[in-house]
Amino acid sequence: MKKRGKINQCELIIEAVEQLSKNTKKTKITLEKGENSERLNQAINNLKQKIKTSEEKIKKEVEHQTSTFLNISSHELRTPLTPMSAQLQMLLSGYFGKLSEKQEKSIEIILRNTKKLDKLIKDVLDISRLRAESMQVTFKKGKLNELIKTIINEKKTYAKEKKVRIIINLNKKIPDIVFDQGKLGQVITDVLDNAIKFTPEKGKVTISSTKKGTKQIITIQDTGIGIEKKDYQLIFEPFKQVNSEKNRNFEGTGLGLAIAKGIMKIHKGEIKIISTIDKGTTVQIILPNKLKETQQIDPLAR
Amino acid sequence: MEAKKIMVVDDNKDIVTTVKTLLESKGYTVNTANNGEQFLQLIGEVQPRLVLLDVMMPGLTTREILQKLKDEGYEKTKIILVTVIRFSKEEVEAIMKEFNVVDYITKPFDITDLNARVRQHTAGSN
Repeated sequence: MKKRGKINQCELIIEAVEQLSKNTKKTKITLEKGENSERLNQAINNLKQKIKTSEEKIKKEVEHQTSTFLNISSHELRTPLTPMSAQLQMLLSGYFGKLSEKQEKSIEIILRNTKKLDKLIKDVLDISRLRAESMQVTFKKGKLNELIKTIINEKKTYAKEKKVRIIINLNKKIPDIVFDQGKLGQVITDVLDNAIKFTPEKGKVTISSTKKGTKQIITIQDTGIGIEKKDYQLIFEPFKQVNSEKNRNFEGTGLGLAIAKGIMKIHKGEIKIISTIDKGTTVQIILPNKLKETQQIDPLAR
Repeated sequence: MEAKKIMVVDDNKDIVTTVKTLLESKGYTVNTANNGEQFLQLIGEVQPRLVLLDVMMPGLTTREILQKLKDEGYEKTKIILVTVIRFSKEEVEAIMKEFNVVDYITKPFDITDLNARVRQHTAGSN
């Protein structure tokens, strides 16, 4: 009898350790009742809890360090661009004397590329944050239509320059939902920017917002050059741009949509594309309505 | 008429020189500092009507600097935050409510934009 008791205890310990090493979501282990099984049960569960706490602590620490590194990198990389850009603008505006036409053209090229570099740095940092899963978001309840209207306003001049008409069709019945104003704004701006960019003169871009069940959908439809079905997934990849005759003259960092996809994922939403070559492209930005608000981080405490 | 006094605070010396050149050519008197401590030491002597304050500097955080200004009775000095970070509308509104921050400009900036905002916030007599 005693011998049997001892074997049972060994088996008990083995089973407990096996359960502990399995990566299951269960936080409690239950062993068969027997001699000392209560104590073992307790000990193993304590150990499991300690491991979980430790893992969470490490994860948070890594996230924090990555985030700090990326914030500092952002600041450091963009700091030299500030005096570069300002001095070039001052040169062009005659602060240091009149320029010849050739000098002007030269400085314009440099200034244009300074702006490109700035956008590129910003985009690369965004992608890095998304990849490291350390993009900070502030989820707050807000009015989607207000955000859309603000962005349309910002893009009015660009659309006018390109002779593209913007048509607005926002559903007033859309409820206030929770989202990150800055990040979602970035997505909508980027999609709208693309729509205007790839639509020829006299074309139109239609922006609408609707509610469908538990989802809010922002649709941006253009009458532009379109995207081939085989390229639908490609355009969401970092630095990949469609390699076609039509696309050759259009510039961009090649990261906008990759970032948009990442931001929508954080919002537990999606971004979808349907397109027809030479007829146009329709982009749908889909948001759920059940996100929870998060605490705001103090932006001045850096 | 006495020139309007502005302080430019940034840890990057080239940014400070550039903004100083820009604003002096528009007739302002510009004093500079490279960090929070230096700025707080000089403000009593300079008494600027407007400060262009960089947000991410080593040493005191922006919040600490703004709080110290408030504590030492400089609530009337107008501040324009100059920053690489893009603040959200709510963040800006909250900051403006708490301190005498009247505006913010993102870096790299447009010089016409900077000039316009400085002109706007130094309008009127002291």
